[in-house]
Amino acid sequence: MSAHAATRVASLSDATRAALIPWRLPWRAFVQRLDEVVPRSLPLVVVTVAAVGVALADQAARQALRLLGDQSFIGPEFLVLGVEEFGPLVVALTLSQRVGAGFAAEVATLQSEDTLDAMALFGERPAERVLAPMAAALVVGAVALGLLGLVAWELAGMATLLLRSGISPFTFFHPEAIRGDGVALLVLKCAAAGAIVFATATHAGLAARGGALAVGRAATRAVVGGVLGCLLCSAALDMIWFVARAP
Amino acid sequence: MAVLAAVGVAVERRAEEIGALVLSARRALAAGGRLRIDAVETLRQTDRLFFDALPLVLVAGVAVGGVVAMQGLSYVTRYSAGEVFGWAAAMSAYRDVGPLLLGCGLAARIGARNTAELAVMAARERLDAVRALGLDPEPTVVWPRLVGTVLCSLLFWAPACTLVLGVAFVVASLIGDQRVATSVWSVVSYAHAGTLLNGLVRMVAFGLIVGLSSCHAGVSVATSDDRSAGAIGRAVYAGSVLSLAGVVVTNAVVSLLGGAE
Repeated sequence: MSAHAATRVASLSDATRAALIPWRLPWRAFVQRLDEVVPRSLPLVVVTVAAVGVALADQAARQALRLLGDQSFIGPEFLVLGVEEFGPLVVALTLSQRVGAGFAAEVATLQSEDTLDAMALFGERPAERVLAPMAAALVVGAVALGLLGLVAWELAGMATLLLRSGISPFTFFHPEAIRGDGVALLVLKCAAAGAIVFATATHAGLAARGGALAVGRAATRAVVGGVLGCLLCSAALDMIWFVARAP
Repeated sequence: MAVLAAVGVAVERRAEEIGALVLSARRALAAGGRLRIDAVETLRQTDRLFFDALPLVLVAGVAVGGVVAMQGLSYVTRYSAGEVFGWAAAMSAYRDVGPLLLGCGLAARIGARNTAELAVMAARERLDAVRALGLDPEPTVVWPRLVGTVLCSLLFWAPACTLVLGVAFVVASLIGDQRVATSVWSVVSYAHAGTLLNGLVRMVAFGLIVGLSSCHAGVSVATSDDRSAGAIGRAVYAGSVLSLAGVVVTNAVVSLLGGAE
């Protein structure tokens, strides 16, 4: 392992440790980062989750009508699909594109301008001061966005079925379909996605050497790594969950 | 009032972006119709973007295959519907989930790369240098990337979606005791050509959206006063957000307009 790579791993592990220990986390910076992750990402998360929800609800309704002549079972299935599969996945992809690129560009700029080294020289701990709030905010923010995205998912499904098939929202909405382990899977997937987006963004940012080109390259690498990592993580967690749930 | 003003500003900005995108698309289509786009540069960009995105598409294909398999297996288990698993997985792989998630992957890889390269060229005044040589940067530098992105989407669709379906079948047989032969039989018996056509249309539309959004975000650095590293990073970020939002919204529109097979 090269010296640069070892430094990156050390910075990431320092940041993770600081993010996990409440009294070492700079709370003011955490709140600022949380503001960047949740309220500023919320419009994009709502639009993407709702758009995917509209597409899947409409297709499911038309297929159910054509094959079975019955659309009554779509409501509970649609909600379960949002909780366990597409809600967390779409939130993860959105976070990779929106927050991952932004954080990577910021860390890359700090790295390529030697600001992180200067902070260390003056006795500051850049991993704790800069990176740990990003890590904590991404994990907490991803879970919050996952839960808010679920509301957008269900409302999009309700509106689609009402306008396209005339199904009443009261018939469509089946909160009893949500199981405790399904919500646990949503929280786990979203938290894992937040951690993956942080790791890929920070890794790409800390690897940046040079000027503008390196910043652009870091943002690109962060987005690609985040998207791939989130897809692989979602598939792996689904498989583990399926096997664990099997009778 | 302040909230209303902020909403108004945000809506105006989005409307400006969409308007610029539509105008850009119109110019690109008109230039393409008159064969004014540099053909050699288009082929070069297609080749570069295709092989650059290939590893991502392969890994994403495997991951999406896993997602499709698990999505189908949960229904197979609950409703004892092993007979239709292959058909449902094929619909997901070729039409619904496959193109959507691959479109997000292309937005991340090809879109971000297009934006970063064009933004750097704009910030370093290389687009002005092309103009100084008497060439128009749009048909020689920008639109070849747009056409290359669309061609890559077209070229990736069949192999990537087939990979997604193959992985889904293998995962389902390993984890859910769903025989591969039964899944293949299900596809042959129930799937329609319309599913493939619908998926292909989506993928081409996603390529167009990703190409337009990424090129627009990159070139817009030339019209801004700020040409710093931060501006390039912001352009990459804006391009990838615009691409992602465009892909999911287009997917919803195509779903609402298309029929169910």
